Amino acid sequence: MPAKLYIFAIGGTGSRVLKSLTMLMASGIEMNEVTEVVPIILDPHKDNKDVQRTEVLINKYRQIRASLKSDLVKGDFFYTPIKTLEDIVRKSDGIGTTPMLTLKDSHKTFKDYIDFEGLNDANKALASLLFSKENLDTEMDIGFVGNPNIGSVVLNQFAESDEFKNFASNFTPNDRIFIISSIFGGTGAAGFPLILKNIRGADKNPKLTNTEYLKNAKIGALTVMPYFGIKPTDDKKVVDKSTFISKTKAALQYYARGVNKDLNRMYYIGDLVNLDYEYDPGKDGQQNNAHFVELASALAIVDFANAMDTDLETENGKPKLPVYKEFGIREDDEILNLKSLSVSTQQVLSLPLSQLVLFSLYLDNRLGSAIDSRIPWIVENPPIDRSFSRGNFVEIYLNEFNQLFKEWLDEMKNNRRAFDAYLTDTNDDLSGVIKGYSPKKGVLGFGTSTVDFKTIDEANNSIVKGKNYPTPADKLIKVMSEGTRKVLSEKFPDLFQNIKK
Amino acid sequence: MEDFLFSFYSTFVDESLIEDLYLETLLTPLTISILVIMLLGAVVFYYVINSIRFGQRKHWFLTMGIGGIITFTVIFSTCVNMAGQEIVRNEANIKKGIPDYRFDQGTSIFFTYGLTMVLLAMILFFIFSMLIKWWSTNSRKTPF
Repeated sequence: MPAKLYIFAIGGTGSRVLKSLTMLMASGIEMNEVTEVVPIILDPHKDNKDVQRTEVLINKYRQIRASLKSDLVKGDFFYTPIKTLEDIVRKSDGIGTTPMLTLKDSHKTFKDYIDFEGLNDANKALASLLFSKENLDTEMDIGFVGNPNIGSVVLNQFAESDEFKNFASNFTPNDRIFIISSIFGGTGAAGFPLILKNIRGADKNPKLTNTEYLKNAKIGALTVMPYFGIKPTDDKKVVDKSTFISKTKAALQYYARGVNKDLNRMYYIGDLVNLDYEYDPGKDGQQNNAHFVELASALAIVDFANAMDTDLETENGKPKLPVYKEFGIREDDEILNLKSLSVSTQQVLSLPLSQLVLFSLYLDNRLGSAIDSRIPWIVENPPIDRSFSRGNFVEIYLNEFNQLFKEWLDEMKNNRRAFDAYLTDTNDDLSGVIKGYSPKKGVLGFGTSTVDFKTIDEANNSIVKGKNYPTPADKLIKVMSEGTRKVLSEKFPDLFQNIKK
Repeated sequence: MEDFLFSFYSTFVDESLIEDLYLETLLTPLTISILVIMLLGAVVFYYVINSIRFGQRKHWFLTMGIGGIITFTVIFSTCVNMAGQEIVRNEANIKKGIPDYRFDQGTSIFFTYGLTMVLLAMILFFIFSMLIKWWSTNSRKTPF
């Protein structure tokens, strides 16, 4: 039975976590209990670079997936399909063609949105009490700039949106929902309880269908606590990082009372070691470098997608066994690599992510020369030739996805705390590619065995023998998935002994 | 077998040398040696080395070249060795004081015979390669 995972990614943090999840899905990370993922991005800040980058990445992923003709198997790169609402609804009328959910009137100031001038004196006084002058003058197309009180008003339109109605009408009892939000900003902090309320309380909304399914849906959520800061300025209007902790505490208290009990799984994450960014919500606004916390947050979604149905049962809108989880690392280092992570995290992450790193390096450094070298796995039917490597699949979809993947790794490497797990500026020698780990000993226990691109080619040669692939694209993805897995499990047994396949 | 090989080699090798090899029943062991050398070379290349690093066309030629050198050495040294044994071809001539030994054609003929057999060995290596390359993991597209 198909089981969709709807992911509501709220605000800039939501988009960045979604980006990390897309990278993990590209690596073929296992999400055993879901068959497809439907991301829905909720952010009024149209020019948010993080949102735009995530949309581009998801589009590349979807283009790659759409180019493949054969069925992928678990563990293959790009295994789990990413769908938009338009893909799954029976009659979309042009709704949900992208993961981005459209918010109405987000170009207005908050004052105009609530028609402040049209209110009577009593309501004006009340509104002025609840919202400062800066709040009222906030232009909402740059987001709610750290003001969840604005977000909680504006995002109420979500329940009335065509996207939400479409989502509800196509929701089945097998499907799951995951909500990503930050607790210390504006959009996420406001949007998360609101979305949850509308789903669990769907039976109170007469415009929705499948309300019983929604009420008893399997819902997980991730609340990201502060993991980056904003550089101090004299401008009082801007987000002040000194308020992050107090906002977090206040929201956590609220969640404990009114939110947590409605969730089957709640994940918390944050970091005390962090980097301050320039505050810039304008047209060039909010492009934060990728961060390890976002990668770890994406692992929460993977964890939720691997949870058994029996662990996520809900009755009358109340989860039977709610579980609350936090993420931890083994070594409190400023620069993390795979060794710094707990064994359980390594078991989930190390193999697929390392596979994708090898694939990325192969695309950049080897594919061209492999085509010239008449290597069996390359030349056998269907051949991977120059015309294929210059075609849309490699040049536009795969290479551009790869570029975004490398940027993502680089950004995590240069952030604080840094995730610097791979040596990616290598020409041919791959023996040091996984930081902190060496390949197994060579023959008779002397030296180390060679690991280079030819090692991958040799693994691939043994994989393609006697097999047929419908297109070169299918061959490239499927063989590289299996080949990189074979190389890593054979050459790096120290790292992979627990997860050897 | 010897008769068949005699008629086969007579078409392109010095007849006197082939006759001497035939009379010493060396044609069969030498031919089998070449077959084994080149088959072994192909097996080593396709199944023992069986590598991307040493599986390119130049490495295939190198393996063939090594097989050719071994072939040449076996052929040439056999002929020289047999010449050194001074096996009498015609007793009457010896009695007349005319030296008439088998394998007295001289090193240039041995050399030419060696090179001819190298050529044959290369053809054999090519045939063996075409027959067994398909089951090699990494060299099944070598030499083409």
